[in-house]
Amino acid sequence: MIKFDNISKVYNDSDQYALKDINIYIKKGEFVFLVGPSGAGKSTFLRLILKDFNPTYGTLYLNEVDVNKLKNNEIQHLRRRMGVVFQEFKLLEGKTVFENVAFAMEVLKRDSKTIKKRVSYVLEIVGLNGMEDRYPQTMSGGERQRVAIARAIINGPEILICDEPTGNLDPRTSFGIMKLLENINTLGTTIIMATHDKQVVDSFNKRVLILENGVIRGDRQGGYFY
Amino acid sequence: MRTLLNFVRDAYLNIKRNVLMSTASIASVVAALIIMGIVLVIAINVSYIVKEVESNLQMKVYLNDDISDQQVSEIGTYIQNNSHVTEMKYVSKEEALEEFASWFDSSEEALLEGYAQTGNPLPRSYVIKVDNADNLSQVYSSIIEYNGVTDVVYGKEYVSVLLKFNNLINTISLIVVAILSAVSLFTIYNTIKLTVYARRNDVEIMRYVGASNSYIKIPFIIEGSVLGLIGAIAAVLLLRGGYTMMIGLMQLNSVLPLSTSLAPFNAVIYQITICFILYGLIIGAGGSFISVSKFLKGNVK
Ligand SMILES: Nc1ncnc2c1ncn2[C@@H]1O[C@H](COP(=O)(O)OP(=O)(O)OP(=O)(O)O)[C@@H](O)[C@H]1O
Ligand SMILES: [Mg+2]
Repeated sequence: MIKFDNISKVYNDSDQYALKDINIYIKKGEFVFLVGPSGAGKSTFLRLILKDFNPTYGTLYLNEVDVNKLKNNEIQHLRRRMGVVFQEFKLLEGKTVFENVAFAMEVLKRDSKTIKKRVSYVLEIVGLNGMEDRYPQTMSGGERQRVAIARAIINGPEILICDEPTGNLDPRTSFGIMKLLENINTLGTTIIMATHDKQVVDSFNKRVLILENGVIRGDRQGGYFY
Repeated sequence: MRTLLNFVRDAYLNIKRNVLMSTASIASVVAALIIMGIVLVIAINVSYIVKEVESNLQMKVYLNDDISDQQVSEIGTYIQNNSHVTEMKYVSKEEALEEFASWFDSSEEALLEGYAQTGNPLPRSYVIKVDNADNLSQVYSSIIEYNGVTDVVYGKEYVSVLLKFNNLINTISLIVVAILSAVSLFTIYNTIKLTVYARRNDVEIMRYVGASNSYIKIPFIIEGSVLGLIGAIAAVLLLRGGYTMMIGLMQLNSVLPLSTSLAPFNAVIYQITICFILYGLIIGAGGSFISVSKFLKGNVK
């Protein structure tokens, strides 16, 4: 469903390749770890899928569609079928847990009854039931990341993009988050997750893509090679 | 679905959060509008004075002593047929003398006595009023040629200076309005730029969950509009108070001959209020629209 066809990316204000000649295919329902040292191009890889920018060379296909050619409103529809989770959570500070999660449905102009029902359902899935009215500032890192995950999956995305989701969490909390992501993956969502966390990669037997200096150095099933 | 009320509530909360910047941009709108208001008030008063003067502008048509009463009334009909003439009054020789006498502190009889030999030397005349100062010269030339008319008199130079002054004031007002609009637009633009930057996280999240551009822009545009609106209302109130005070002061001291000629503010306050509020909304919405659009464009590399 995701196909990198000879993709290279050079940032506007840079003369170096952030990614170079990437050819990768990711099947529907896969769980893929993206590993590699800092500056290897992991975030760039994910941001291409999120359509933050176009590749400098090559073509990115999502469900056989060349995303280069999408118009503004088509990009918006594409994003509605994806969820994204970041290391720094990126929650709306002045809003409650409920509002933070409901937000992603309001954008789709769902009615408030459906939103209410679905938000409490998703909060249950991520293990935050009863915390609807808390503010992110008053919560632990692990709890905040669960709010972010709830927001990312509330619209039932086909693809979940995670950029170091356990980067700010201790090993035990990370393990809980990983279990949650694994469950979400089992329900059919394709997950691509960039991480530095050796322990996480080692304990979950998934496909691992190894990036170094913008180039793919390995593509293996299981284990942490780099 | 989010209602407009929700948007306005969020705008209010954000303005409260950025008190300093918000106050700064409200102040800039207030300052711009007050200066504009003062210029406007001057312009309105000048055109008010011009109107007053115009409606009092008289033209005197002097008639030859030798023509018959029949010819006099023919001339009267001819003048009244001119569509720019709004009023016409006939002044007989006796009335002319009476008026003349009243200027000097002497009686009519005394004057007549003085003119005993030659008789009343003052000619008959028509005193007419013209609808608009711009038409004076045209009325003048159509009457001066008429047989039996000896002279047509009006304050030519005075009128043309007045008209030029009025035009100058109007031009200056337009320039001031244009400059101040640009200044307040720029201030709002910068305020919203900071607001957008402060909330770039929110904007980023909105983009990632697939919000349409207009959905992202609306809260900022509402926030800018609220800022502009507050500024406009404050400016109207201040200007209103200031003007009332000025009228009061002028009546108290009555040093300036203008005091009686100041246009009554109530006559224009509703127009000014509506104009200012529209202006505040447009500047506020426009400034933030440009700002947030630019941010959304710049975000895509
Ligand atoms: N916005 C940008 N403008 C210019 N260069 C950039 C930009 N973002 C990233 N880069 C460069 O592109 C390269 C890849 O960066 P990227 O963020 O994809 O690395 P990463 O693997 O995610 O690193 P980390 O593990 O530290 O998050 C780096 O050399 C980085 O300096
Ligand atoms: Mg990164």
